[in-house]
Amino acid sequence: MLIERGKKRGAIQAEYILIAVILIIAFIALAYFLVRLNIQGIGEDAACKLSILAKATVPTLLPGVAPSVPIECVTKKICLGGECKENFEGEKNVDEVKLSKDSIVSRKQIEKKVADSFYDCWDDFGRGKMDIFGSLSESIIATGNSKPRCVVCSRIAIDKNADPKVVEKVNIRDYMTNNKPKGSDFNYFKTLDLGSDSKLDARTIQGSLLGQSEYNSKKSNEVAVVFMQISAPSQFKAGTTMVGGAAVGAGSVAFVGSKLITGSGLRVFKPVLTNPVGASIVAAIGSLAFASAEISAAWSRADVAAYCGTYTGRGSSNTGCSVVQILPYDRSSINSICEIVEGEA
Amino acid sequence: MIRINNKKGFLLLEKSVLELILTIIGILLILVVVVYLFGLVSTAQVKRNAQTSLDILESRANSLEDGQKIMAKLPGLCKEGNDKTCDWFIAGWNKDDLKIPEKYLLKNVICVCNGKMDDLVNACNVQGLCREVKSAKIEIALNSFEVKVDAMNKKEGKTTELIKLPIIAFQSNLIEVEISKNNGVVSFKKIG
Repeated sequence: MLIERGKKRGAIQAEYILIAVILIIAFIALAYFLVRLNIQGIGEDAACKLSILAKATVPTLLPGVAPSVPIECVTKKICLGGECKENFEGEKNVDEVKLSKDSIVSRKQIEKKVADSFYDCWDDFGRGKMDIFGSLSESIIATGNSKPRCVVCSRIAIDKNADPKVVEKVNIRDYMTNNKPKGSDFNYFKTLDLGSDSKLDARTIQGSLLGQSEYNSKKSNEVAVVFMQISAPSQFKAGTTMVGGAAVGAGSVAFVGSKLITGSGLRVFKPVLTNPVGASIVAAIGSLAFASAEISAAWSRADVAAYCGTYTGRGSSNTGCSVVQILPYDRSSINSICEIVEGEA
Repeated sequence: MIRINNKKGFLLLEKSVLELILTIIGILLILVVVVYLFGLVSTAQVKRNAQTSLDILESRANSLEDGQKIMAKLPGLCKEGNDKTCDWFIAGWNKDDLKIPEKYLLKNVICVCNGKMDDLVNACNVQGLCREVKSAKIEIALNSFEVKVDAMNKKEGKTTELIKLPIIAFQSNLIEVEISKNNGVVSFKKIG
C-alpha cells in the first residue's frame, strides 16, 4: 500500500516536472517571438540575449545538434570621433561618439567603449558557459571535425583624424582593473569572473585602432569584438580526460590571456592548451589547425577572455571552449578563427 | 459485478490511451509550429544580411571618384563551412547586355542573388535584389568564381565542365570585395 502510494506520488511529481519543463520552454519560445515583434519597444540587446538563451535551452531533436534558433544579435558599429566613412559607408545604425578635445577625457572615452563592448559580448553569451552552437554540429557528422563558429559583437573604428598620441595611451587592461561596469560594485575582471593575473596586452588594441602594420596588416584602423565557440565531439567526456597519456581531472576555468603556442600543426590559444579541459578538447577535435603565419600572428596579439569546460543548460553533458577576442576587422583575422559567422551584420 | 468492473477498467484504459495520443499530437504540433517560426526568422535574417551587403556595395560604388578604390567587407550568408557551395552570390549587368533581370533594363546594376549559378538572370529575377550603379560600365572580375556545369561534348556526349563566371560567391564567413573606378568603369573583385 505504501509502495503504491509512493509510486503514485512519484508519477505525479514526474508529471509536474514534465509540465514545468514544457511551460518553461514554451515561455522562452513565446518571449523570444514577442521580443522579435519588438512589443513594448524591447531593444536589440534584449532580443540578442533572449535568442542566445533560447538557442542554449530549447531542446534538440537530434542529439548534440543545436536547434535552428537564429542568433538575433546585430553587430554594433561604433565610430570613435564621428567620421568613419571609409569603415561604415552604406551601413545603418552607426553609433558616432564625439571625442572630447581634452586628451585624458577622450582617452577614457575610447577605453570605456572598448571595455564595455568586450564586457557586453562576454556577458551576452553567458560568459562562454552555454552550449550555443551544439557540441555535435551537422559539420561534425559529415566530416568528423568541429568548426569554430562566431558572432561579431561589435566593430569599433576610429576617426583617421583622431590624435594618434591619445590612442597610443589607451590601456584597456588598466581601465578594466580600475573601473566598474554599469550596475556592478566590482571591476570588470571581477564582475566577469576573469582572473586579472594574465597580461592583457594594451598595445594590441592601440596598434589595431591606429592601423599600424605590426598589429593590423590591412591598416584599417578598425577592430572587432568577436565571440567564438568550438565544441568537442559528443563522445568526448569532461569528467576525466587524458592529456599526454595522463589522466587529468577536468575542471572549468575562465581566464584572460593573449599568447599562443604552436606545435605539431596546431596553433591555438595558450590558455586553451594550458587548461586541461581545453587541451583535451583540442586533442579530441584533432583538426583544429590554423595554418598561416599571418593567422598565428593574429592569434598571438589577440586579447581574449576564454572559458573551457562543461556547459550549463541543455548541453550540460557537453564540453567546449568559448572565447571573446579583439581582432583587426579584416578577412584574414576574422576568418582565421571563424569558419562560420552567425548573427546580423 | 465483475463485468461492471471490467467495463469500468476498459473505459479508464481507453480514456488514458486517448489522452496520451492527444498529448503526443499536441506536443508534436507545438514543435512543428516552433521549428517553422524559427525557420522563418532565420531566413529573414539571411535576407537582411543580403540587403546590408547590397547597401554597402551600392553606396561604396557610387561614392567613388575616378582613379579611386575602396574595400567592402561583407558578412557570411552561407550556413555551412567554406567547403560547401552556397547559392548566394553577387552579379552585375550593364545596360547594353542582351540578358538582364527584367526590372532593371537600361541600367547598370549590381545584384545580390540567391539561386542556381548556371542561370544567373533567372536566379536574380526570382530571388535577387539589384541596385543601380552610376557609371559608364560595371565589371565583375571573370576569375571570381568557377562552377561546374553540364555541357555537350561531341565525343563523349554529356559531360561536366568547369567554367568561370563573372560572379562573387558568398561564404559562411567574411569576404572582401575591392571596388575600383577607372575611366568611368566600376570594377568589383573578390580579394583572397
